[in-house]
Amino acid sequence: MRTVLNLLSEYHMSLISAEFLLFIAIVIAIFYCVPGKAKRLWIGAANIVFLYFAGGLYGLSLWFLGAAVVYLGAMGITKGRGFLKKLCFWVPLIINLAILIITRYQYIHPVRAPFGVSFYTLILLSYLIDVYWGKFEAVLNPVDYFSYAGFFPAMTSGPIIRYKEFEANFKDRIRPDYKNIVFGMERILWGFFKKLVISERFAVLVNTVFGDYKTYSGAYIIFGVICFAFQLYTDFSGCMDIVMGVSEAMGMKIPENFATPFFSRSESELWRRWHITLGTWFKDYIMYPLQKTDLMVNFSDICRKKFGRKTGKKVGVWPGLLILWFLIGYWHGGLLKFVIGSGLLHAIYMICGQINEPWLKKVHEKLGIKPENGWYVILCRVRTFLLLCSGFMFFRADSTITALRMYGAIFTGNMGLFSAEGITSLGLDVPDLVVAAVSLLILFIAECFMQTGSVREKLYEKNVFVRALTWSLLAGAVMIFGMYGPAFEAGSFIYQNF
Amino acid sequence: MGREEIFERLNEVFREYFDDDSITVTDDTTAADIEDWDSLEHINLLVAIEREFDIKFTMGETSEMKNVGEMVTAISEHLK
Repeated sequence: MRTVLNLLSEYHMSLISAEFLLFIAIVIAIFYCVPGKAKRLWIGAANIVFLYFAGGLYGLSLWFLGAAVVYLGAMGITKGRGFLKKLCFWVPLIINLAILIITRYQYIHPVRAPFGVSFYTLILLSYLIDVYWGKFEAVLNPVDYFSYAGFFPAMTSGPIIRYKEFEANFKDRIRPDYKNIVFGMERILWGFFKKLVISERFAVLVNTVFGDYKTYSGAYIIFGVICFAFQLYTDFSGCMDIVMGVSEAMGMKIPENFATPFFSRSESELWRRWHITLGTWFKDYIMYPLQKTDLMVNFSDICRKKFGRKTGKKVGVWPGLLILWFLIGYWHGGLLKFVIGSGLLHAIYMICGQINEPWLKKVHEKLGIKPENGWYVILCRVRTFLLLCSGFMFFRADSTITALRMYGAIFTGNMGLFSAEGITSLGLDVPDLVVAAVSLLILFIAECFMQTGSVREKLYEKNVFVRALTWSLLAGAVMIFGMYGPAFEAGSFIYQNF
Repeated sequence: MGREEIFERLNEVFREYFDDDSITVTDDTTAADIEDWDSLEHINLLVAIEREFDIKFTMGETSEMKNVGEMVTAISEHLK
């Protein structure tokens, strides 16, 4: 018995594993069997089992500590007044932030970050702050609360669900629904395709270039960082597809984290379509309260007086924007490279976008360019994608210094990439490169269709034969072309480490 | 103050803030309907509205408002 327990405690369940598939099959089957009220109790139990297998007793206990203080604090906020209310807000807030900062950013001494801490901390804090702001009263029933606070699909990499969004699923009775289950399974399969067929392949190219940028300089570096954009997107959004699929199969809706971000025409649009729930979290709980402070309101007034109404109101939000993006970057891991690459750089791009807007508008009018022109839209999308990549250089490189050196190494003029030996020297042979390119093309075509509505709905209208064929092909592609095994470290998601 | 009067005064605030006299807000108007109304402008706009009606929105209201109709409801609650 003891050995079994030891084995279990060393085991880490990942979303990409046969064990996880078995786990969700059991969870979903029993979820539909238990009566209405017991469904949330069952989710709560599944949460605990998942957190234990994914993060061990250590991860489970730290999550429980964070969640429990928020549960009690929120009740104190609803029942209490004055000082007690403030105390019940600040104590759980500080405890949760302390757990996040100490374990995740390792300022005190190296301690392991509990599984999912970056994501569940934000989930717990959104609940605490919403109760403090009086959006709703604290939840008394511990089953209702803990089924939300540790909702297992969202623990690996989000999305950052709000309590109201979670709660809305239980307004009506959840019944087994053929469409939900099929759609859920389709989405899980799509996630596996993105992660195992596309992301794991691009990872090989990326690791080669970033592992030895002195050899792979020049065009290799630009190629490497573009490949990283595809790797990260298919990894993270693939993980989200699995998470959404699991929830959908259980008849539950949770907020989307991606909306085909590479189709964005501007930096500000990009951040409404990439890691959406993180952006809205920081907007609601950091940016808005900050901008409503007297200091910022006064600053805004001064800007309007100094720069005129139109420009002034834009300048007025810049400090808030910079603080917001500093924190978003910092959240990614407390390192300077994240603060730059996933933070301040993008705030600066957005500010530049605002500065350039008036004169660009004039140029467009003079040259007769309409913003909806096909070629112009493509140009804007490519530009936005490249700006995103410029931040990813910092994100992926070992450090800020390495990223800057890599920027320098672009200018060595190494064009080796454009030869047969060059392109095949990155770790993938010709067949694998073809699979990578074709699967990326399939993703692109699917996302083009997504611009006009749900691909699964469109497919659902087709006859059974077409549907079965489509999904068999995809399942076949995952089984034949999926990259498994420890060599490629399949099974670990990039954002899982945040 | 009735909803109609609130709407009238709100229209003025919107027109002045976004520098666009063609704006007419209704219950269903959302940020998506007005080109310049994005999350960066949202708080500034709310501050302008707070000044017009001499009220203070709570933080809960600030992030909860989904359309102008909800905004008007919140304003009339404060004016009660």
